Amino acid sequence: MFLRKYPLRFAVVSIFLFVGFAYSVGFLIFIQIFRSDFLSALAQRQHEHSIVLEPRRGTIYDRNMRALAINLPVYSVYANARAMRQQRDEDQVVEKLSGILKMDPKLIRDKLDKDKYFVWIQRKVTQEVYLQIKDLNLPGIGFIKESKRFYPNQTLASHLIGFAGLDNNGLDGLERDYDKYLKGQPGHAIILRDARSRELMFDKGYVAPVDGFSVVLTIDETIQFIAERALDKMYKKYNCKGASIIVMDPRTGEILAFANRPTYNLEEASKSTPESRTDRAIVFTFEPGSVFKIVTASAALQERVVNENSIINCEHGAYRVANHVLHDHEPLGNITFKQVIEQSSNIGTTKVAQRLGPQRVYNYAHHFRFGIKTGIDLPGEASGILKPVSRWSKTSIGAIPIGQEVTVTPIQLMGAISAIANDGIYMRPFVVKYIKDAQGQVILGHSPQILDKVISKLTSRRMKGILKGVVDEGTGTKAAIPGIPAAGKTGTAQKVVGGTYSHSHFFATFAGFAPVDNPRLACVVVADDPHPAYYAATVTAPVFSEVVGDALKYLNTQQQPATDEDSPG
Amino acid sequence: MSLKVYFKIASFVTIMCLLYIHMQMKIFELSYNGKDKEKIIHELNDSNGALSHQILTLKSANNLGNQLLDHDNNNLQFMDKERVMTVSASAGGMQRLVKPQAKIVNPIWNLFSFLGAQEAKAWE
Repeated sequence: MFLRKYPLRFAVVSIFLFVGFAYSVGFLIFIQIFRSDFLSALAQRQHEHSIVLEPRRGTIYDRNMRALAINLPVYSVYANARAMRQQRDEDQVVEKLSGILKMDPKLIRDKLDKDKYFVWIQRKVTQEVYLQIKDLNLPGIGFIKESKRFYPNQTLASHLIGFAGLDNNGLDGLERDYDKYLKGQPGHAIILRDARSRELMFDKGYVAPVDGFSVVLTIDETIQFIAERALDKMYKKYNCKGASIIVMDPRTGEILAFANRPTYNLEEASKSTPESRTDRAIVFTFEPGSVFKIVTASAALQERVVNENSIINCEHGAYRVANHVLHDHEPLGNITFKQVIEQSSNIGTTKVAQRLGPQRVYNYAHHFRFGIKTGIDLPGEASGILKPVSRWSKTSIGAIPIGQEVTVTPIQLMGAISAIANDGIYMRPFVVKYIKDAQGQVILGHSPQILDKVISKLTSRRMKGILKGVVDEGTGTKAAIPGIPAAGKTGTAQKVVGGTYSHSHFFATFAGFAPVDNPRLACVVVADDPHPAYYAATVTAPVFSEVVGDALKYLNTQQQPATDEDSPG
Repeated sequence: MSLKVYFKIASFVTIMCLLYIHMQMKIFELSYNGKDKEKIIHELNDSNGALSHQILTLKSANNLGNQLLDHDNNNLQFMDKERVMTVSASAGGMQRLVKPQAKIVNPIWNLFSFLGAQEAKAWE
């Protein structure tokens, strides 16, 4: 009816619809065929958001699974500098941010002046700071979740643990050496977003991150604290230039405590100096002085050159070796070999070394791993200097056996004293017990390793007796532990200053172990340039007593008798 | 095709389309809800992280040792083993010590409520 009544109108409408339809179809064909790739990519960009899933860095534990380094989630603050520039209240935002972040407003403004969509304002802020800024709901300010390394003990075992940087890459210590195990592998996912850029719970191409492995150390947090506390007191009391302490189980080679001074706070590693980060216990070499006499004495007993009761004439304090006159710290006459070591006579020890001859002295020193690395699982270990006999001068026989013309590291002294404590068996010192994955599966384990048998069990027992005498009635009486028999050797060595031996700068060293019959702990304490007191007997021996005494008490209380609950059934 | 059949098909298709759209909307709604829940989990995770850090710092040997030994309590020392007394008792033994033993009553007397008043028992 309409058709007949209004043919023109109908034709116009029909043509209009046809053209419209044809245009739509044509446009659809154009979009689908010619613009398909471009528009698909555009849509993908708008809807899909690719993110990197950060793996959780492995935890570093002590031997009792107490966390020494752990990763926790934190937020970093960023700004869209371009968007912020268009706002009128930018000054107010800068002011508020500088107040909360405690940053110079000029620094924040400099960052915002950059013509960028993304600028970091501050990385890895604390939870409180994050919540304060979030509550302000500042336009153009956003947050990115990251993880940060935390060190609950701050300065404890800092040289051993080391630290990780802002991007969770290990930069020092075990954090760096075991980085490949600790860091894990990042994952990634593509997240869908709606038109308002809200994320939806649809993941595409999800690849889960692989968390880093955890590293379990041989260190005992409590013994470490005991050692650091005592070392710190000594370091401050005697104004030392540096100091080191190592506590080890001589039966296994497991390092239980390992510390140096000066030190630094792992939570504020960026403020530390290279000097404070130096791991003196393994890289710092020094002339050990009398503590080296344990090598000469062991060699003499093993080679049956002397026995404990052999009489040695100590020449009343002056003895010429080639063109050099040796002195004792006090004039001594005819004394037994045991007393030579107890009283730390340079002359007596040199006379015994002369009976041994240079080659045998060198051989034993080499067996005790002086001049070579102990093999501790830490990088950068120094080998020290032990000259081969061909390079010895005529005076060397009066120097090397008493710890001069030879340089050692504290860890080498630890290896030597532990070998004497452990029936002559030299154990490789180690700090990493095992590495495990997130499921607790052990990936890599370290077990005690025998490196050498340096002296016989009998010689070891005789040396223990002599070194016990040092603590009971010799130069190391201040190393005595009430109720526990201890053994050890003091060493006060002159430092070489300007090419000559100084009379005012010294190294004070004590190396010992306890209990004597069944040694459970060996300890080496080194003080660099202590003053006003500088004798090892005064400076380092009391540290040994305090540390080993407390550590043994702690270990004893740790081993409680089994209760009914522990027993099966 | 009759108009009636056409309307039937059109209605069916429309209903199906509406159902499809409704399902899609539900999926997205659930996705948003899921995201909200995820956000709460993240927030809880964050606060857990912050609290973990505080706990670890507080119970660290460094903190405890310095607080206990280096401040007002310089006399504190590690205890000798000889001065530590260990009381050993099995779990059962401890329970017997803590829990008074129930009076043993013949169930027959209980049946007639001759002994003691009836009491409502709380759900455990």
